[in-house]
Amino acid sequence: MTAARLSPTPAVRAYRILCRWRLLQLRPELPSLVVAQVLFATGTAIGLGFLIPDVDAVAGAYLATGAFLINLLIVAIAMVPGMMTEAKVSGVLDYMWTLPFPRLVFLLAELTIWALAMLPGMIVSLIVTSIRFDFDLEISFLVVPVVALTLVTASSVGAAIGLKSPSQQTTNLFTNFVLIAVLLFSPVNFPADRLPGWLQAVHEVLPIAPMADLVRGTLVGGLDAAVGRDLAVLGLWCAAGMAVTWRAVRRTA
Amino acid sequence: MLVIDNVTKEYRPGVRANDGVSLRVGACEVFGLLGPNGAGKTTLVRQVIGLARPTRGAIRIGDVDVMRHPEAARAACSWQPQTQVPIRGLTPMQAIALVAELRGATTHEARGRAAELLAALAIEEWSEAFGFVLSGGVARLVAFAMAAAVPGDVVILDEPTNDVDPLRRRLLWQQVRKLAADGAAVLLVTHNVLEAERAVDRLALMDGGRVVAAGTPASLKPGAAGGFRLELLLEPGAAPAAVPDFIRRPVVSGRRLLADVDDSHVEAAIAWARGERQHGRVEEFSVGPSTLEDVYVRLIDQEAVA
Repeated sequence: MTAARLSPTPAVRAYRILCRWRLLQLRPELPSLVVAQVLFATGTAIGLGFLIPDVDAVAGAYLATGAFLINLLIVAIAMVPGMMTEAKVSGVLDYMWTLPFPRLVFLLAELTIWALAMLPGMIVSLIVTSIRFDFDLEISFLVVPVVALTLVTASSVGAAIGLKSPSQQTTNLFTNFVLIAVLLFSPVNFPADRLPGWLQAVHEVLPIAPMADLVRGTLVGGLDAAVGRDLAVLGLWCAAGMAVTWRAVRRTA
Repeated sequence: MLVIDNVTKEYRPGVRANDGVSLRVGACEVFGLLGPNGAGKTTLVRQVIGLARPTRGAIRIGDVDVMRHPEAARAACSWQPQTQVPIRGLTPMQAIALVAELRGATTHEARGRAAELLAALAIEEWSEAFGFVLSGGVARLVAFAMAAAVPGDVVILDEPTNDVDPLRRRLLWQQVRKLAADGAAVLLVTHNVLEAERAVDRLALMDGGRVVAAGTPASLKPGAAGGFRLELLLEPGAAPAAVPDFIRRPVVSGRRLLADVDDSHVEAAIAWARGERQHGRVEEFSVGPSTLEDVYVRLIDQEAVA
């Protein structure tokens, strides 16, 4: 077969092939990954329920929506950076960059696969915890853009960390630190006013509290006046994450 | 046609990964790039495929300027890297077909081409095995097939025969020649001088970021046609013997002494070497036609001395 071609593969076609590539590659692992996600998310929420003696509907709503968000963050902040660092260090990214398609298409295909890994666990955990803690879901149509923005922000920040990290060890250290910070020191599973003042101030500029507020507001109702500010903070983090990722991806030594 | 014109990569003043490299690889040609580790071969390859930007100089594929139009250059170039390719979790059939599709083949064509290459390289029995169970040699053959499935105008192969068994190496070389016969300009990076001598049309020898010799394998050998090489294995601890004039350009590397001998002095050289052995200074010796390896050892040695 001779193919003296000079035109890159059209973006939509390349996107479809790359999604298929990644799905085939993850096929042996994807089912166990999804099951682990479901177990982890429901397990965390229900386990924290044992830690707190009387979980009322409000506390239950915090735990359930917190589990929903943590599920997303585990993939975006723990798994995505690890995968990106491995791809960078092993030369896989270099290989992909020499194939004839726009690099943005590669990132979109990756994002699609990560979303597929996250969403089943998020949905199942929400249903299970709402039954366990006996509160009513009040799902707003805004949940779709809010979850999309959260997913893109967290994934692009995760990808940026993975691409900028010099080694897998550094990435692991960082993601472990972030996970502990999210699970125990962020207003995800409990209201922000339980944190010391200085930590509340830190969370004013970090994306985690806005993510938690927006997700909770669109799942159980009660989006408050801070919604505009939350969206602005999240939007800035999203832009920063995408900018760093895009620069790292476009860079040529 | 690949044209590399006076390409230099300077990381900081005085630290150069390559230095004024100029090469031309024509369509239908297999061009070897030889040289020791750190010679600048991989840097040059990365510049051609757009992973590194030269500080100075130009690279063109046909009429396309690689630096100005990296996407068009990527479409025109297929690459087998020296490092791993992302086939973990994929079968060889899937991996080859996916790359073929990304390079423009239909799904049907891609699978057909993958099956053809798997058969040509005699690795069909692994066509449905997962990438992580493949041996190093089979994985390299799969990586080659990924580059060859829908080849560009330029095909770059970085150490394609590493870990591959001798029988499949032959099949691989047949496919490399076929790529060139079908019109590709093949740039072959290798340490394996003896194999390169048989497989390439022309070659360049790189050292310290520069091209130190270039031409056809025959033209680079001493005395072109009719030259011989004398190889002595010195006794451990023995000092190199005083070498007569007709044994030219002796180079000592460890216990080995390599030198050129003209056709007319072969018998005298054998007689001298036999004498050295009788005196206990030489363990064994051989005389044979000059090889490219002799040229390689000599040129790289001179560079090291310089």
